[in-house]
Amino acid sequence: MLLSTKKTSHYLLSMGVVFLMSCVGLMIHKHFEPTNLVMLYLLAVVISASLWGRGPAIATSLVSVLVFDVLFVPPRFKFTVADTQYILTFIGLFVVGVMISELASKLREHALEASRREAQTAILYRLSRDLTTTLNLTDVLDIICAHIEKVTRGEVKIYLQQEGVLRQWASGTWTSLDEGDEPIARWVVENARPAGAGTSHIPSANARYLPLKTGDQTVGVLSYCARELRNGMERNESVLLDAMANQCALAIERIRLLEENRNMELLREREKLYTTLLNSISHDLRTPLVAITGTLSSLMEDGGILERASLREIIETAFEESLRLNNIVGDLLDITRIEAGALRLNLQPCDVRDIISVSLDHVREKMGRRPVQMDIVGEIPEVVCDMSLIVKALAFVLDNAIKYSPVDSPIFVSARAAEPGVNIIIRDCGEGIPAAEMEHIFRKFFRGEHSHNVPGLGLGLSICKGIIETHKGNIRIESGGGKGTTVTIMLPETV
Amino acid sequence: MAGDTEKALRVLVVDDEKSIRRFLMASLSPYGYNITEASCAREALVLAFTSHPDVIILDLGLPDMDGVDVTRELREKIKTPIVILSIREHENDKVAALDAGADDYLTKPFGMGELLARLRAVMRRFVPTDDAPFFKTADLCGDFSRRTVTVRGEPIHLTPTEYDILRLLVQNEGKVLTHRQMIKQIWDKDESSEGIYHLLRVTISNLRNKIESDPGRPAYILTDPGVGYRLHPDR
Repeated sequence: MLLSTKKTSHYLLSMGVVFLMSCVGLMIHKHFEPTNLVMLYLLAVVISASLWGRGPAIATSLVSVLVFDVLFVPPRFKFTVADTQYILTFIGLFVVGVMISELASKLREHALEASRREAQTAILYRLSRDLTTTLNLTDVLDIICAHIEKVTRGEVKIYLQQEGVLRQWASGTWTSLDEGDEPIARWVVENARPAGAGTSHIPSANARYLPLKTGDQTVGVLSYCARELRNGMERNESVLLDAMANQCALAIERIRLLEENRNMELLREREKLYTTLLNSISHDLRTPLVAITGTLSSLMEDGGILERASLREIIETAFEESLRLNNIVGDLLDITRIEAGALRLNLQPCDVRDIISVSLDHVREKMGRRPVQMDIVGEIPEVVCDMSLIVKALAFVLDNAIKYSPVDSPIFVSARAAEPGVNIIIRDCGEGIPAAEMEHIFRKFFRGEHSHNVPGLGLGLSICKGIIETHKGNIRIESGGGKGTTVTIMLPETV
Repeated sequence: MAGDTEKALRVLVVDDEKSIRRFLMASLSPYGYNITEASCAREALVLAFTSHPDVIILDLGLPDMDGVDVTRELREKIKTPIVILSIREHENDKVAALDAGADDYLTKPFGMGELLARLRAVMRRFVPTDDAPFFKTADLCGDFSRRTVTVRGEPIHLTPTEYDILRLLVQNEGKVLTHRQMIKQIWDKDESSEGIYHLLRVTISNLRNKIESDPGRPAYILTDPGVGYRLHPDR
């Protein structure tokens, strides 16, 4: 409908040009021979041919011949021709008109074709530009669908072969496979050939299925279903779709390689970390065993050579080392439980004073004669918690305070009611933690610069944080300026 | 120590690990203990009922039956003291074993000195005496036949409940009493009673304020987190 009105208007316009040329001819015909006025009509034919194509141009030549005869060939304003030589002029005008219209319309078609190609190239260029900047699969699929749907106004689905399973991507999400699509998509993947509408395999299907090929394998299928029902697809649309499918396959392949690369790198990083970790753990586990096995073997070999005092000395060392080994194993088990989320909380209301006194009791030997300044004033609410875990967490903090502050300096322990629960604050007078290390202190196996000579696995604070956070509390550490370290543990009244 | 002159105390060691039985055998024998071994629950139950040991050292992780069930089964028939020796350190396991009737609980690995002390303590508690319990350290003295308690020589006033708790702890000196056991014996209630836990904690806290020289860091009434309380005889 639209097409035919457009065509009619082209014809009318070309008639208008003939009318215009006739007006010009009428104005100047007194000064020119009629045969020269033919040029005006040839001009009209050229204009019609280049602007509106073959049909209007031929109509223009025909009408021109008639109008020229009526207006300018004597006897004027009659169809009859006095001088037969004008017949030749008519034939000439008509033949030249038809030939010009033929040539001009070809030229025009070429120009149209060129601009269509340019448009396609631009589309493909935009697509490839958008694709190269994306880094994940779903974005790539989104972009492809959006581009194709914008250009061709059809419905696009993409099927991807992932780990042997065919998945369907449509309208922005992964969806379940439509029953009708599945066998065709599978056939396309297996045969790496297009199928569906306009192809030799199942041409009765509504959609066309194009294989997404990269190198020698088919990674998936792009299905395209035109929204308007048409018989077949236009040739250049089909070419464009092929090109887009190609781009799509390349982009998917690129993302896959990128992901593989990323995974490899992650794996390498993880392996490196594990190696360092294993080295450090096996060192920490073996060192105590050295003292223990050494002592036991020297006891076995001993034929009364060892003095009583030195015997006592090595036995004591071995005993201390065995306790240390037991602690290390316990810490490793604790962090494993915390990370696996397998910490069983034995919740009971607890007296905060009691928690603190039991924690201090845990580190009694390490504390030695060091002064502990307690400051627990005011009404402290009971907190519901797993007391033995909280005691463990506090003991880690106290242990750190003892390890990283001068032997005779005091340690301050205080408790205060805080808005959601209770704050327990432990402060030492040590050198404090370097600012650069602050962000790492809760990382497991992290040891600070100054802790070379201090035994430990670097698990204490991570276990502590794990325990406190399982109780929905939090732990804050402030340090710096040589003013010691202050650890604040907030425990809510109920978990 | 226990039996150079008297007849040797017979100990039944129940553990599925041969190395641990061997170690206990070697380490306890010099102290005058006479060791019988069992490697599984079935064997242990038979030996416990037939050979009448004086004390049983029991592992919880036995191949054929859980140690807590073994404890329960033993308690149905005999009163022989049971000391649990287990790798399980979670307080729920301790409470389960103690509530089932175990007399003490020691986690592996343990020091020999600690085990010997616990064995002596359970034996002492087991020997029946008609005398009212008596407790005396440098600072604290409890004479339960006269119902008096003195701290640093000064008599102090205790409420009846505080007195009962102190007396119960003294009777079980060195042994952990679970919350449930204390609530049962003092108030004759079970642990589901409203506010009973809170009452226990408050009474303990008040008792500490009266008898401890530094209630913030108690020396006598110690808390075993998640399990209960015990009286430490001497520090």
